[in-house]
Amino acid sequence: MRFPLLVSRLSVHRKVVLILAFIVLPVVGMMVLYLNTLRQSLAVQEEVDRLLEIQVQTGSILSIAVDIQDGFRGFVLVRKEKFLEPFHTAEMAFGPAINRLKQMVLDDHEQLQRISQIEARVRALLQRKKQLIDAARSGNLRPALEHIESGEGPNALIAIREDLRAFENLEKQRLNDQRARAERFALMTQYGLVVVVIGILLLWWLASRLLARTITGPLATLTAAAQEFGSGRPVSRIPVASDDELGRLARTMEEMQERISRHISQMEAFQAIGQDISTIGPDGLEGVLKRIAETAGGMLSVDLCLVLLWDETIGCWKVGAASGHWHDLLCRSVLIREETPIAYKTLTTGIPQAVDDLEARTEAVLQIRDRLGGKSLLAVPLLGPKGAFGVLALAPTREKRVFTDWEVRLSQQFAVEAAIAILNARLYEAAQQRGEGLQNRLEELERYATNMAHDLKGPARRMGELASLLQLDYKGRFDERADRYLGWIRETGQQLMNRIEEVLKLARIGTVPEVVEAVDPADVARDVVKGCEGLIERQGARVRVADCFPKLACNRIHLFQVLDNLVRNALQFSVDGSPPEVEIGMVKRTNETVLLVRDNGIGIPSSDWERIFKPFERLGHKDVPGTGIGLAIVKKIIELYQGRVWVESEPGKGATFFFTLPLYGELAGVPVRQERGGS
Amino acid sequence: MDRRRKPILVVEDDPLDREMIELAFKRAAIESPVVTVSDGQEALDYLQALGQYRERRPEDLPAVIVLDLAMPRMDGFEFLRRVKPTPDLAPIPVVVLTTSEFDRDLSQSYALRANSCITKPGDFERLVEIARAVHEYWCEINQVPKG
Repeated sequence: MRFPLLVSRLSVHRKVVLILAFIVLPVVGMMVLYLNTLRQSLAVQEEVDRLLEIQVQTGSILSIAVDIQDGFRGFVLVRKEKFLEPFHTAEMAFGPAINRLKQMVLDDHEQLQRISQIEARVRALLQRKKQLIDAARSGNLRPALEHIESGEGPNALIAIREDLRAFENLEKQRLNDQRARAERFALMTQYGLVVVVIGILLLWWLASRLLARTITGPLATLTAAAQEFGSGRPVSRIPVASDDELGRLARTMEEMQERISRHISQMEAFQAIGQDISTIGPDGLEGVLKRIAETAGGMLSVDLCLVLLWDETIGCWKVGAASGHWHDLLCRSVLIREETPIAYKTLTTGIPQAVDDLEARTEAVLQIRDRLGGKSLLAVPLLGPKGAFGVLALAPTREKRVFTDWEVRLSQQFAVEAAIAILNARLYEAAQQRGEGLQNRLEELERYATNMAHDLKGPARRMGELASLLQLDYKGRFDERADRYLGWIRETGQQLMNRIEEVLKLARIGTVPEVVEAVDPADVARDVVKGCEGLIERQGARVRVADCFPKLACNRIHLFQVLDNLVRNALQFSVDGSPPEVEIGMVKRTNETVLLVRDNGIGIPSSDWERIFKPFERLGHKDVPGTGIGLAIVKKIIELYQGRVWVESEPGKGATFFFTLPLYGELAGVPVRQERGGS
Repeated sequence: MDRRRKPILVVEDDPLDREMIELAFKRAAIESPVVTVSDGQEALDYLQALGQYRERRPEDLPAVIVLDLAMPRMDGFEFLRRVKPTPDLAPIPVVVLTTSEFDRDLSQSYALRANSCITKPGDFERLVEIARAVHEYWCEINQVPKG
């Protein structure tokens, strides 16, 4: 059901009035009808009373006329004055009686005439009788007797009676008409009542429909829309089409939802921006500042955005970055405090300053207005732990602009993110500079150590060479003890050389980029075993290599060095009297593959599990040959690949060395090092 | 002229090493004379008969050059870089004898067309063996153009 446009345009107040009128009108109508009926029945009663009164009066007039007639007759016949008493009483009563009657029919001309006729008849009768009485008193009885005989008196009486009856009948007729009218009204009231009750019911239904359609329905829709919005689902169109207060409320709610949604999306975009600007790229602090300038300008559609950083030492602004083409023009330039009072106020108070019209400012010089052409200015502080350290200045140069509260708040929030990003980038750059310095020093130290080791190797070699030369050339010229000492010198030189060579190996790991390739550990393990054949034979050892390994992604020589060192280590630290048994194998853990080298040697107490991987830690086994640097080399190689190496052991029951290296599958297709900017 | 008579040129900055290497060749009972120079520049002068070696006889071009890598003035790499592109000198075998066991040094030497690389052993007896082997291979077995 569609209500006419007219109804939908009415206000809620008018609608309520209309609905009430719907119900009240028939009630009022019925009341009017009922009152009318009441009035009619009262009129009937009045008419009845009047008729009774009229009958009384007509009766009394008739009896007056009779009294006149009778009094006259008695006087004439008896000739006694006493008989004239009723005559006089009647004469006296007639005037008031007839006047009374006249009063009662004052408005009725016809009846009034009839009464006048009756009055004339009675007065004529009275006049005639008085004349006759007067004649009789004077002794002339004759005319009186003749009069009686003529029967003139009774005839006049009859005429009067007839007139009165006619008068009465007319009044009776009127009463009956009135009664009939009253009855009609009563009947009409009965029917009217039925109609009105039905009408009221109908209107009640109509009113409830109207109420539902125009008020409760829209209210329910609005409530539902509010609930939807409350639970995070904004409704773009609330289906309340009327032009009344509810319609306006719906439009307001739509607008409100749209605005809130817009704010939410702005906030979300802003959050993304926050993450974006705080990412420190290869362009470092400068890049962060530039992104802040660009995004702040873009966010509020302002063409000129400056990141002003306050320089304590010179007491001036330094332009950290500017949006668009301004950047190259302004970046790193200096602005004087006196010429940027609004920004300076923002800095000192820490409160955003918004100036809608820069032209209206009275300051002689405003850099942003005079040099850069800013029409308005929003200056937001960049707050650090020790108060504001800079200001974000947003200055539209095309036209003036009034910054809304929301925009000020948004830019303030943005400034918080921006400040954090700037501080982070500053911190990062400082740390990086420190780190680079440290790295350089470390590299220098490493180079120095390497060079020194290299330089030491020559004299060590020569010591051995000279000792062996002496032994060779001067054989037999030394005694046996000197010969033995020479042998020791020669050996010591050799050992020194080996140790230096190992140190150099350790130092070299990771300094030279090595090719990463797919390496089968089983292959490498077999090469290692082959290389140790002499040692294995001497020790009577047994080395077992598992058949199946996954391919590793590493440098082959590195894996060889790892396994070689671990196997030699395993062969050397054997329990006296029992031949070493070494196993090169693999275990699969939950998310990694671990290679292992297990032996049945003397084992390592848990207190030394960490220490053995440090260079020159030989745990007091001076009798066992070796440089004490093998496990350090292993550790350094494994860590080069971000792997782990550790030992598990129980003294007397052997030791197992575990290590992880990247599996070939893990690295397949992934470039090991990515160059920036290369093609 | 018999190639075994041609001199062996030892390029070594350390005087002790120079003496040791010379002695090792002698101990190996090698008849060829051993000429020792102290750096690459001097070796180059010798090969090109310049400077103090202006008087060098043409037939005294060495049969083999034993070259150290780390030297002042001109190191072994620079020496190789100068000698190997010269057609007259390129066929003379260059044996690098160095303390370094760096792969990088060895790779670079070979890249600059060194003919052989040997690590100094740290034992005189072993050095004698090496001298013998070098002479035997490079002066007797190995063939170079006669011209």
